[in-house]
Amino acid sequence: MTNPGLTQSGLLSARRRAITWHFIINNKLFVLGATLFFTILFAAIFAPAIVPYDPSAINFPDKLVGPSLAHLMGTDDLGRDIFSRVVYGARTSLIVGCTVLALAMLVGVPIGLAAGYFGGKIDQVLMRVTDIFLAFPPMLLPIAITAALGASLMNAMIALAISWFPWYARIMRSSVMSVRNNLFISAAQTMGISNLKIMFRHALPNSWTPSLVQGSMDFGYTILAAASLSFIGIGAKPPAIEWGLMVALSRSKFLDYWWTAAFPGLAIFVTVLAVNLVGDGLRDILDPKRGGGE
Amino acid sequence: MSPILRIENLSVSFPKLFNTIKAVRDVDLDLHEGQITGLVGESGSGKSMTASAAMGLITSQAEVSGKIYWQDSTWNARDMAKSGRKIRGAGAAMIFQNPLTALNPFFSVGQQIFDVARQHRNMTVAELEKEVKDCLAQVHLPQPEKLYKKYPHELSGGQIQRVVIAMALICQPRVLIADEPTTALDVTVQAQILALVRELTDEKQLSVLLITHDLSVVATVCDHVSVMYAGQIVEQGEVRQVIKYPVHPYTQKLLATVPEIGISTELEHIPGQVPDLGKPIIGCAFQERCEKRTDNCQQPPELISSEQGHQYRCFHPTTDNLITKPMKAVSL
Amino acid sequence: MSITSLQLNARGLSKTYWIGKEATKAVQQVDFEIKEGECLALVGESGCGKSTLAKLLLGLETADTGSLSFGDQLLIDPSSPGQYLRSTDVAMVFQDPYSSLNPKMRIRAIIGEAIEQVKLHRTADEIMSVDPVFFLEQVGMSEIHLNRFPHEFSGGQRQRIAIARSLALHPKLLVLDEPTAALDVSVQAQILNLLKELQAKLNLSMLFISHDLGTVHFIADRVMVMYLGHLVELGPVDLVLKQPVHQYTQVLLDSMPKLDPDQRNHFKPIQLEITDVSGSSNGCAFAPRCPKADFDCRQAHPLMTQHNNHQFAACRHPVTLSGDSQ
Repeated sequence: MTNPGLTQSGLLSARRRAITWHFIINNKLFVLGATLFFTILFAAIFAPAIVPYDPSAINFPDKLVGPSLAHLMGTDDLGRDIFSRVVYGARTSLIVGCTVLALAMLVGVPIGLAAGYFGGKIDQVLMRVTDIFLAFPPMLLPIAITAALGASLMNAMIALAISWFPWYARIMRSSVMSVRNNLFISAAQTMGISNLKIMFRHALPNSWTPSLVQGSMDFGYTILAAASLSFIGIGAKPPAIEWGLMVALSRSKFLDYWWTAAFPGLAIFVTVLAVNLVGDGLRDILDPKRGGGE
Repeated sequence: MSPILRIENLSVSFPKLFNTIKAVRDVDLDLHEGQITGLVGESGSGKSMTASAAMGLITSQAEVSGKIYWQDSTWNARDMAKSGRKIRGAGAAMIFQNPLTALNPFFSVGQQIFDVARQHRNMTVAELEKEVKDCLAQVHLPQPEKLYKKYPHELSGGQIQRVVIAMALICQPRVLIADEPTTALDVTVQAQILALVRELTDEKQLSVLLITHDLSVVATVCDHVSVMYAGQIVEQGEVRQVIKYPVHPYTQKLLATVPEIGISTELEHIPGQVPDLGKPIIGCAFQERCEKRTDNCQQPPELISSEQGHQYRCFHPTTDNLITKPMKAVSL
Repeated sequence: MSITSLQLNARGLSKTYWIGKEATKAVQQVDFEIKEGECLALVGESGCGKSTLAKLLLGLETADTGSLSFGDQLLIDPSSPGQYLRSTDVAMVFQDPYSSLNPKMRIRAIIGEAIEQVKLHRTADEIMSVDPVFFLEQVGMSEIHLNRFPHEFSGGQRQRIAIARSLALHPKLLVLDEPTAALDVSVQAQILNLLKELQAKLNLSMLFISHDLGTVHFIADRVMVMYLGHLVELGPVDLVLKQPVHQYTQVLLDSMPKLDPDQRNHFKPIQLEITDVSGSSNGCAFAPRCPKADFDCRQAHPLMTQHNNHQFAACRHPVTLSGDSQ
């Protein structure tokens, strides 16, 4: 019945391989997205080792050269190698995505947790305050905030976080409200455990998954949003290396020199796609109806 | 008298990545006219799965085998899912456990029954409407005219279950399968619904399969009973015979675990746990937990039938009170 | 040190739920005691208020009126009934073993949390053990179960873990809300046997809420019957279940299916259903469905009167021994 000559540990690793293979087959898009994403991450982390040129090195003689062996993605109007700049841009975009989400969650999750757990007046007050932020049209708030604080990537990130946190507050709140009906919360209350402990030890670990999934899906949007802000001139400013900024700077030239806009634009597209595939896949995997999760 | 519905050799398996879960194993079951047969078992015994397979409600991920003899035709259990729509509604109807989720909250109660009736009966709209109201009256719902327009959320659990029964009966089925219809109901409401099912069975000569985990319900309302354990039928026969003079050790133990007023001073419990249905079962499924176990229990016991139709699957049955000696083995 | 016995005293407990202007009187003026080491059962159907009463006893809901004390400790002060003064003397075991344990916590942490609470409220010599294994062993499980998560256990095992968690609080009174309703009948028997054993060993008082009269007869010493928020009958289990006084109790007994196929004629379902749950009329709550109700019954709510040795009922037409009920 068993394969002769296969040891206990051999069987175990065969089993693990089978499970992995099964997972890959059933979640192809997720695996594709994850692979792409890790490639981008790798490129971002090891940028200095990968790039052939210094991304900021100005080199007028070589300006606006099309894609060639020497310059895989061509050069921009200051002679800088676009490939090197795209790779370094990955760093910026990933940092932006992480920072904005981290800030949004840091503010939104506790608000949603408290609102969902306590209900009543606390819920009303917290939600009405967050509603104020929700009322602004998506781009207007960041524009207003950066106008007030001054244009820079950091301020753009803060502005995006402020306009994004209400979604996490809401998601967290509804998630906590359904967890709250579970008897283990009542059990903890009958034991006299403080509300703070119950919120963080019992409610939070059982309700944070939807926020996580939302975050992975939003990651792409934050990158896009940051790029858009840079494109209209209130985000990153030169000499920062950012994809949206690169597209903005190529505005006057790209009709004749397509590569100056195409490659940074493509980079945005591929990254957002990868992150969305990961987000969708994660949501499906963690879907309780599929028996996923742990 | 030959049975209205005969299930023969029914097996349902769910193939998974590393093993196969055998939820139902070689089940034989007969339903007779004007009789309520109880299908009893604990969770994981396969009772709901058996009924779902017979009605063609199993999804395609399952491997179903066996035969169903229904009226004058023979169906392959595997094909039941495809031809299920023909048997359901027209000849057989099923009602489920949770009354709250059985009805669509967006439509009135009368409308829902009407829609079901229209599928299967050839009548004008006016005739159908009258038929629906008659059905509502038959299940003892007050003021059918008014009730027709009410929505599910306006009714109590017991009332909804009656509506569900009305919906099941409007197509005049011969067979009614009720999967734990009273488990979610209060004891007084349960009593009313059980009495209603008994009344309707007698009046219309229905064949009812009542799935339940509650042996007292079986004793009170059923004519026949089949006891399931680990996907197999371990004992079946007339209620009086099986409950008063149980033959199989599992049935005996199960009856001893039910606390009864004035009778139980000690409650038995069955040591151990139900075997893992994902692993192959060697011999008798109950042997690990049985006091009477011997070496020959390593062989799978066949279903033996007494002259009175009391069947059991055991090498150590308590046959002192069987009306006659065991006659022949029913080979599968 | 006071020599007051460890008795639970509940007087005049009431709770009304409001949805807009609609009031649901879930619990209405309920009085009862639970003596030290006794098991009192609470039976009733949905809407009778038994779950609400359990929540009031544990402070999961705020009472509108009433007082509650355990021994010499006041849990609900009649002058401010909205304040619940929590005590680790009272613990609860919930109905659904699938949602009463945090799925993200290991058993060690689940029981450990209770032990943590106890350490805050009791002195070292009062605490039997600070090791979770000790409590697992009391419910028939062992240390191999410590590192696992709840989903790795069956319903019966989870309920045992929940009981172990309550025991870790060193309670003197255990409130059990239909602890076996979600379990198979053979597993139910195990849990009931365990509870009986624990009660004897630890001299625990228990409030056992159930809808199953057979279970109640097995495990309880006394039983109280509730209907639409009111206490309708109270007395020793043998008396109430074999010689009920209140018409509703008789109806419950008649509606119960029995395990003996030869006793089918004892099965007498009542004709009418509960339709009105708000209990707004002044009369007896059961009058609309009662076969013996008369004009007086509908006018004023009957008082709780003593009918024989320790048996109390609020009924103007008590069931007589001559089979008066139907």
